[in-house]
Amino acid sequence: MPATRIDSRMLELIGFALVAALILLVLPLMLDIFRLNLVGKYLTYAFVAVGLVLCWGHTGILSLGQGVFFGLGGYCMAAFLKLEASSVANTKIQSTPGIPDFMDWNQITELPFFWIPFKSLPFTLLAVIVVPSIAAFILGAAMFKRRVGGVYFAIITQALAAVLTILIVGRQGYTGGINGITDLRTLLGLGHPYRRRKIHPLLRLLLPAAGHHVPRALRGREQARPHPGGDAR
Amino acid sequence: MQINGLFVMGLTLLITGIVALLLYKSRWGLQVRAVVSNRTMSGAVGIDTRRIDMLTFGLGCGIAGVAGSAFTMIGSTGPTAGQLYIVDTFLVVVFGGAQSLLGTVASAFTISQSQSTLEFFLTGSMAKVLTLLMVIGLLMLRPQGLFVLKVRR
Repeated sequence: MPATRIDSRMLELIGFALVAALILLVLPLMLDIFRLNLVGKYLTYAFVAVGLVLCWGHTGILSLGQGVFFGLGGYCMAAFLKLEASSVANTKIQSTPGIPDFMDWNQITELPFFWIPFKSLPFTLLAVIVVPSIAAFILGAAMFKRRVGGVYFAIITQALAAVLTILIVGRQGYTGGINGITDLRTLLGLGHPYRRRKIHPLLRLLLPAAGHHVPRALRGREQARPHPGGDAR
Repeated sequence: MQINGLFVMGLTLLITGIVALLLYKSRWGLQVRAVVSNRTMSGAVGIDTRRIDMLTFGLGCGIAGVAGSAFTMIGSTGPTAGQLYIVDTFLVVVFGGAQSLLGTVASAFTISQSQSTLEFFLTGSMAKVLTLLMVIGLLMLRPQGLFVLKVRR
């Protein structure tokens, strides 16, 4: 039935166009900065939700540690923004100027080696994608090779999230601890979203990801995916 | 503090004993074990499996309530008090083998002992991280847990 297929494709496109117009035009024009930032925050959560839909809904892998990857990307970006905010001029009241304030509070006197590459924006943008991917690859390789699936996968990912939280809180000199990395100011001299109106929800356009039909094809054919997620029982 | 700890320990022993008695000596326990090993067949021989589900879920949640009331004696109570312990709880149960009461007791003992032993040598947070990582590693090697009942699927 080619006619109906074209129709549904058209409807999908019109739907995306409407959502894009709403996010890129209507919301920035109508909302104040505070609310616009809130919308931006919700849209980032929507990214996580899309990831979960892909993992759980389409392939049946329930990851309770999705926040780990959200956080890894977040910490990479925050490291760059924090280093930009901690210029020598901005931090001259510290005992060691030029390092993030929480490091100074924890008696650290030089930038740790794993913070140094985050002075470069290209590296940071690459790391935002590569670091969570590598972490997920190691985790996935270790688990799926051994056919760890279903509830065990869920609990292990949940435990890993707990491990990372404890680690970050425990090593506050390197990570900012329970407060996190705060007081970010500018991105390459541009206003931080909290100060000036920026259309960062632009990223939302990338969302209708290509290739989400492959895992969907896997669903329903239980033999095609013997390991992860819900059993065929 | 010591008296509180001892009381909680005594309560734990009591509850564990009661659960073991219920599971292995009562008619209800027999039905639970039947449903766990083969739901369809237990239904066929006249066990009301949904009623067993309800009773078991109720009992499990009730024990969680008793645990919570005991916890207020040794820790502070707050809306997030449970979240700190839920990961440990899951790991203890899965590590011991979800169907085995003895396994749960053994794994709870192993995990808590290794954590407090490590805390003696390292900082509290690193001890916790190491313990969790070890449990995760062991779970990957042996996802069915330490003690496994032979279960007909």
